[in-house]
Amino acid sequence: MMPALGPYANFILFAFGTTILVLAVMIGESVLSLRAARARLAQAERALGEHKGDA
Amino acid sequence: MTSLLRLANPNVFNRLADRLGVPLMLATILAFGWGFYGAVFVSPADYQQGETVRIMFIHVPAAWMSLFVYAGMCLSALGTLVFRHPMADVAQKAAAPLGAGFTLICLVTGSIWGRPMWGTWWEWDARLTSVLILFLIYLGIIALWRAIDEPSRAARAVAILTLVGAVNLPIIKFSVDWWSTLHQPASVIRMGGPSIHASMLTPLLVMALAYLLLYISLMITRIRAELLDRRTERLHILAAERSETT
Repeated sequence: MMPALGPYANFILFAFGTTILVLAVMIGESVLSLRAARARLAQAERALGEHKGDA
Repeated sequence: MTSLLRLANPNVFNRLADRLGVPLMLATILAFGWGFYGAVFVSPADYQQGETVRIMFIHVPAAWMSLFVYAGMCLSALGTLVFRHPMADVAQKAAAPLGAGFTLICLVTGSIWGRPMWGTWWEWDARLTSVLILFLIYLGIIALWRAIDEPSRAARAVAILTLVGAVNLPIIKFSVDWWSTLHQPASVIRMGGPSIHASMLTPLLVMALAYLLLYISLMITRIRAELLDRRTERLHILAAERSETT
């Protein structure tokens, strides 16, 4: 059962909420940067392949 | 040292990252679940601070991580400047935003905890100010990486800035002993052992483990992204060279 958080419940929830938000941003930014890097590499490989074909 | 040198090979690093990825993610989720359960449901309220002590379980591990990440970045800086380890600057670049994130959590949750306990959101005391300076150093390092185009020059400049900023670490740690501060002195990492009860110490250490596992998982993800970006950069250079010759 969830404990009664007392008169400062809003402060506790605010602190936990902020932490979850910042951690979610850290996770999201890291995962999206990996996906973006993969996409950029695939695009560069395609471009190089096309260039090789032109030559 | 040998294993560190082996990790200099991106293929070895990627193979290791592939193997560790899923187990690390599961361990992180488990540790957060266990830590959160212990912090909210098992740990008792403090006799003075009441329920607000639960903020400690997210604030203190974030503070530890902010220092730990910076200490790791100092080692990476030495790796860049002294040993010229090819992965050192990659690791340093990957770690800076994570360190900034942990420091931001530490500052914000500390401020939210301070309002009901100290009666103020912020006080320019030695501990709070030195952690704010750490956060600004992290932002400076991120900005410096983006300001210099050539990676090797950027890596050297960032390594020097990181080592200069290292002087702030002992100031943060000992600020509560050297000056009269509103912030309480250390109660876990101190001479004579922890002064807090095991019922609070256990969930605190589990949360610290969860933060650490998350940091390792995100570091692996960010290092992989940086390695891919560097490969993309090399391909662009190769494409430019080919177009010049044809």
